[in-house]
Parts: sequence; structure tokens; C-alpha cells
Amino acid sequence: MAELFELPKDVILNIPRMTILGNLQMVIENHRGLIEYSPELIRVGAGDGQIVVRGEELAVGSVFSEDLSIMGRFRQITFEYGGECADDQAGTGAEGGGR
Amino acid sequence: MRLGDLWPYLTGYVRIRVTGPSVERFLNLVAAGGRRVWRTRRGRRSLEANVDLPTFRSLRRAARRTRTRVRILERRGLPFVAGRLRRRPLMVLGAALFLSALYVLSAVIWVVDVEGVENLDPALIREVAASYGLRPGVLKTTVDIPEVERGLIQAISGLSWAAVELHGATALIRVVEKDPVVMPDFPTPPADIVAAKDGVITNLIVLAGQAVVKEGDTVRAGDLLIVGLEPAGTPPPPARPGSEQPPAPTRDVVAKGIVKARVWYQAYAEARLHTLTHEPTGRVHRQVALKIGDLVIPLYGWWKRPVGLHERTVVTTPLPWWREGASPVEVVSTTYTEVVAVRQDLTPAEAELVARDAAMQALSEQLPEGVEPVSFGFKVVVKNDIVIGVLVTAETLEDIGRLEQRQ
Repeated sequence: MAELFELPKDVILNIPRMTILGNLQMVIENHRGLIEYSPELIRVGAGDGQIVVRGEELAVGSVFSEDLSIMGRFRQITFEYGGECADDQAGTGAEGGGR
Repeated sequence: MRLGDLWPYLTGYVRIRVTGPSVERFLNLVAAGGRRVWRTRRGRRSLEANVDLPTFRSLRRAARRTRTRVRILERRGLPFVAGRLRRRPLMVLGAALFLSALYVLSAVIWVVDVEGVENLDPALIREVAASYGLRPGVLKTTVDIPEVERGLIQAISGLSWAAVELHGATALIRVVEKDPVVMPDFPTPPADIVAAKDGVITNLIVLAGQAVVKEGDTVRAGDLLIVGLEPAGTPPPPARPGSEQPPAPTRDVVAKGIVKARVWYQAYAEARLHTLTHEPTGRVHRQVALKIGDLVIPLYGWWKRPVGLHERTVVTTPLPWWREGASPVEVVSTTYTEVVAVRQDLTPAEAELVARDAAMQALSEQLPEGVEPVSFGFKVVVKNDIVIGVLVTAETLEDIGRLEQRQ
């Protein structure tokens, strides 16, 4: 459907849209809530799975029903879908540039 | 405070600490209610965050459902500042009084300064300005500046320009005084023409008055050349023989005429055959010291003393930020430029040329402007092993007449 009308997929499929600034900041639109929040790990519900951010001094900058922003020093961003780690198959796991 | 916090600051917000088993769910619930939570920070068993006032009032439901406890850490923003101030009316009153006093005092002219006065009395200018409404203690808005400027120029005849500038609580009156008018001295009869220089008269043309000298005469500076007298009326009849001829009636005039004369100038200069000059080698040593009163504190370059021939230059700079009077603190900078002695020898012929040039230079300085010498003469008057001296003479033709008021 999205392809038929050339609509952005995130509108139709209800999947997250993420904007990442280096390894310092990340804004997730269309999220499904915080699942886990600690200075080393933040887990955010998105679509059918989760976005997991690992790093140091992580903090949620703001929470709103539509969007959520995460700040800190990211080391790893992974997607977990269907209860298993999906970063190998999907190839979307991003190794954050560690210092 | 970040820019993003500005609006929350105006409307007021609180920093809260949330403790409980599921602060994540708590955040989700608040967000799902259309509220915003920002600047969160996760502690070991708690969470700190900012929420605005309407959000804070709606937190109780979320807290109950997630079994968390919410505590206010800090109240921030204007509403809380206003609330605190309301409890201290006297402080508000004091601040308001202070600000209004500052405002009122800054609207008053406290000092009237005068700048640009040379001969006039500044007190007079202040007095006139005061009569036009510009005096210490008046409100700035009540002073009609163009009126004061006009009034100053009209009232004080010695002023050609006046301007009033307001700098804070100071009114600066800048004036320019009129230049005193110098009337040129017009000679009035009787006036004579006298010689300005020594010379031999070659040409004499009398336009008014009577010549006292004739062409070919040698005159000295100050001699009378043309006297300011002319015959007047009818000359008396010739006297009978034996009786004295009565003096012809005359009247005083301003003498007028051209008196051309040959004038001689001379100049002497000498040149040494052997001279010793000091040429810099390019090596420079600098010493800097701070001078406070009579105390000298070496700052730089004092561990080394220059050896050999040096030229010494001392520059003393007072510290510039001293406000008034002579600064007691000075920076003394001494520069030693190393030099070597160079001996220069001239042959007698070369020395004569040098002396001639120098003498000509000295002579041309004596010549009046626009006068070209008719002839030159050179003569070596001193010649020995040490020095050659040359005398230059020049002859010119020029008008030597000078009008002089007869006393």
C-alpha cells in the first residue's frame, strides 16, 4: 500500500523513525514507550520489537507521547524483534564509535 | 538555563524525584496522557525529571497506578519567584524604590563641563548656560539644547560656535572662540622707504616722495632712500639776493618707489680631511626596567652588559592607564646599538668639493626667496693638514626698499 501511493513507510506501517546525531543524541518518533531505563542501557518499544541503546551516562532528554529523545555516549544500538536479537540478520546493528 | 527551558521558566515547573519499582511505566503513562517530561536523570532506584505545573497536578493518577512515589525536589520559574517575593513586600518595595531613584537621578544633569575655552572664563559660559536653563540639578528633558546653544553664541560675543552634548549625567558645552581680528598696519603719512640691506643702488624709480640717494650710491641697511615728502602748493617766489630762501611748503606722503641694488651674500664652510664616524654593526642589546618613583626594578636584559663601543638610547614611557597627573610608574627602555669606528679620509680636492657644497647650501639658505644670484665667487680661505675652508660669495639684484613709518 505504501509503495502504491508512495507514502512514507513509517506513516503506514507504524514503525519508528529515528534520527541519530553521531553517538550523542537520538530522537525516536512513533515509539511505544520506555521499557528499561538505566544510565548504561535504554530499551524503547518500537513497532513489533525494541530498540536497545547501550552506552555511558545515558539519559532520556524528554518523553512525549509522539517522540522520545535519548542523550549520552552511545556504544551500541541494536534492534530486537520477536524476542531474538535481530541485528545479525537485518544487518542494522550499529556499532557506536566507542572512545 | 537553556533556551528550551525559557517557556517552562515563565510558566513555572518543578523538578521531581520518582521512586518505585517501575519508573519506566510511570514515564510512559505520563507521556500517554499528552504530557511532557524532560531532562530526566536515572538514579539507582529513582528518577529525576522536570514537569510543568499542569503535568505535576496530573501525576497522582500515574503514581497510584504504578505504585511510585513522587517528591518535589525544587520549584523553578517565575510563578515561584513571584510567590517568594509576595512574602517579602518590603524587599520588593525597596527594589522598586531603588530602581525609580536610579531612573530619576539619571534623568538629572549633575555636572556642566566646558571644553574648548582658551581666553574666555568658563564660569561665564556656565553662567550664561544657566540663564538659559542648563545648570546642575535640572531635568534633562527640561533643557532646550538648541536654545542654549543659540543663547550662548548670542550672549557671548567671543564665541563663534557652541554645542551642548549630554553624556549621562554630564552636560558638556563645547565652544570655539572667535579668532581675534588682527588689522593689518596700513602705513599712514608720513612714511619713508629705507634700505633693508647693504648694497649698491643700480636702479631708482620714485613714484611718490623724493629720492635721497642716486644710482651708484652705496647704502647701508637702515639708510633713508626715499623720503615721504612732496612739494605742496605754489613754491614761494624767489627770494631777493641776500635774504634767506624760505623753505618750500611740503606735505607728508607715503613714499613709493622701486630701489634695485646689487647685494652681496657670503657663506663659509669647511670640511675635515680625516673624519671618524660610528657605524652600527646591527647588534642591538635592550634593557627594560620599571621605575617607580626613585626605585628602579630591572625587568629584562640586565644580566648582560654590552661591551665595546655603543650608542645608547633611553626611552621612558609613563604607564598609559594613569588617570591624571604624571604617572609615578614608568617603563625605562635602554637600547645599546653596537657601533664600530670608521675612519674616512679625503684628498684635499675632495674636501674642497665637500666644503664648497656645504658653503653653497648655507648660502642658498640666506638668499631671499625668488632671488637668483647674478654671479658666484669661490675662494679657499683655509687650507692645512686638518681642514679646508671655502668662502662663497654671491651677488644678486634685488629691491632693497622697505616702507617704514616715520616717527
